[in-house]
Amino acid sequence: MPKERTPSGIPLRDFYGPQDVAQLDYTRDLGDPGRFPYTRGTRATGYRSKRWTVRQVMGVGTGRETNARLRHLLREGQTGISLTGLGYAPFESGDPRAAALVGRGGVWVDTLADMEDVFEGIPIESLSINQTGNSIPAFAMIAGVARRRGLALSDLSGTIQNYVLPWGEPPRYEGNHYIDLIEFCAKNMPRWNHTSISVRNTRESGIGADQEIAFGVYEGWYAASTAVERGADANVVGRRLTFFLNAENELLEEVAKFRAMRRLWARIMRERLGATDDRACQLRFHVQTSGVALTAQQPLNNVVRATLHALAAVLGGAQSLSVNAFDEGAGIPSQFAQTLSVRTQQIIALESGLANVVDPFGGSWAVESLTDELEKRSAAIFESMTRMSAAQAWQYVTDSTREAAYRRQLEIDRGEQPVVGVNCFEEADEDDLALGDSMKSAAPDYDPAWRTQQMERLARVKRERDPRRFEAARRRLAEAYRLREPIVEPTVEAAEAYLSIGEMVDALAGVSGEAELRKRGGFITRLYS
Amino acid sequence: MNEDARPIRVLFACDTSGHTAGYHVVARGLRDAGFEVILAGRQLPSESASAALQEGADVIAIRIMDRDPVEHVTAILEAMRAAGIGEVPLLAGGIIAKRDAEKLVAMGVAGVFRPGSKLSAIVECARNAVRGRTVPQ
Repeated sequence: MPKERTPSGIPLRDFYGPQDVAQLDYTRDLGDPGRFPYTRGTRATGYRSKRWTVRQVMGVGTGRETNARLRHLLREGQTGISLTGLGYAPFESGDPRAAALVGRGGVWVDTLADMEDVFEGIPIESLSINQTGNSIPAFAMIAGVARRRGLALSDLSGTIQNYVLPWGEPPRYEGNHYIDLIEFCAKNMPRWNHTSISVRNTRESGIGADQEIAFGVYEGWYAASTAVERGADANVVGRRLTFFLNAENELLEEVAKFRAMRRLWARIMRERLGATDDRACQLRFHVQTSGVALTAQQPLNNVVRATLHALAAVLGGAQSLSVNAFDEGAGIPSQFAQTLSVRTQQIIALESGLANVVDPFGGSWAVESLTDELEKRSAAIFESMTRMSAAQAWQYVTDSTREAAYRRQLEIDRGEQPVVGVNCFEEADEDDLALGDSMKSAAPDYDPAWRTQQMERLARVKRERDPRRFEAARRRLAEAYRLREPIVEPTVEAAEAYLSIGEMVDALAGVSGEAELRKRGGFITRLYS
Repeated sequence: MNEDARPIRVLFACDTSGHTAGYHVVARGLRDAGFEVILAGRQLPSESASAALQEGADVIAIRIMDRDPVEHVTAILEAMRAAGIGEVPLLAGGIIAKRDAEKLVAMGVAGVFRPGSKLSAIVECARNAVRGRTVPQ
């Protein structure tokens, strides 16, 4: 039976016609690609002049394993870098908390020496780098690699997944590290996206496309307005504020989602934040295709799923794309599976013809109707959130995602939401991969020796670093923190003096205690702490 | 329901504090099935063992996302034995490759739940594991 509603709850008709889009005014609501409100895209020429960036998220083992995988992916045609795991752990590899963890949940980095390993032989000035998570020590180490190579920070382009949380310091207050990052990047790194609002993982819980849009624009609006409150220019902030979105199963609604979000964001930036700069009003986003839609059972089915998700992202005009690997339900993606994800993107880009026309679904009665309905629904959610306190709004996001995740699981368990290979068309022998060894990566997906090797490497760095420079940098970092001075520059200096992330965190927690450091942001990420 | 007077008490911990959507789904599934769920959050193996001892947990459940499942569960089982609660059933779930799942079962884990598992299967396994322990063979 066909579904009566989209996952967002929008009623579906048998077919759509002109009456379903009669309320739309082309110039006001759509505009040509490259024209406000950018429903149809941020550039007039779309992918005809600049293709999306092929940017598989990756991080495995230590700097060395990640470097080898990264070089492989770049050789195979990846055009940007996205690293996961950077600075997730606010402690050193030798800490008891690092047991069974080093190199499993992304790349493990203790010091600048490890970051140098990550980027060994890779021209970082000509590739954009995405840093997953908002670790300031890891960001400082990327900056440190550039400086050691004699590059200016302004030569770098990339993104840090920075955002502003409401339960930190009040925005105006010095000591809010999220805003420190925005200010540092705006001043020193004009090609670096200082903010990347991630609602991708929020969507993964099972919320609808309308909520993904609403929660995203809310968090974007909150980040931009708090930076403006501390004195930043909305145009400057808006130019480098980006989004990190999901691409889920329902193809038509997903395409409509990206279009609706562009329109809503442009209106918010112009009307609520007073941005006048075109680029500051343009929603630019990276998509990582759905993980929750992928299954551990019959894993090759995931190749088909991820291709459909990737199509939604491309039809929706994503600037950058990571196609989830088909074996992610089992653990860290293998090199084979990640290469296939790159190939998926290349086939869409070079063979499907979809990159040759901008916004090809524009004018489709069904897609325009869904776009308009999604914008209305998400605007209403956004408006209601702006009437809450920021802390309440974030709690609303948490409550909504918890509820949606549970509901989704019950629907799958009852068979109301079909998942091929899981609750229908199951196979008796749901082998992990049903693949021959030759298709598997030569590299292990986990090696307990990574931790011991990493501990030895860290010990060597500590032996070889200049102890006076180390001590001076440690003191300066702690002092800047104590005085609530902007924290990023002293952190870069600490990175260059080869302080480990664990040492930086300890130095700051020694000043204020861990709870305060957590509130100020950027040093203790929530992942492993 | 269970023949015991009080609900089954499960200590439910995470390997890391990373993504928790699945963790909360399973916690709620257990609660709605009548379990008393102690939401322990991210714990080291020794912390889970001593919490289970103090709380008198009938069963321990571990969500695994980032840590190596075999290494992590080995440490938990050791910590449980050291705390004198080696006989308490342990369930594990999350991102666990099939080959690792088989190893965990061989190590004595009462149930391993990979993506795609039904809540009812987790509930049933936890009940049976506790029953198997309390009812004399």
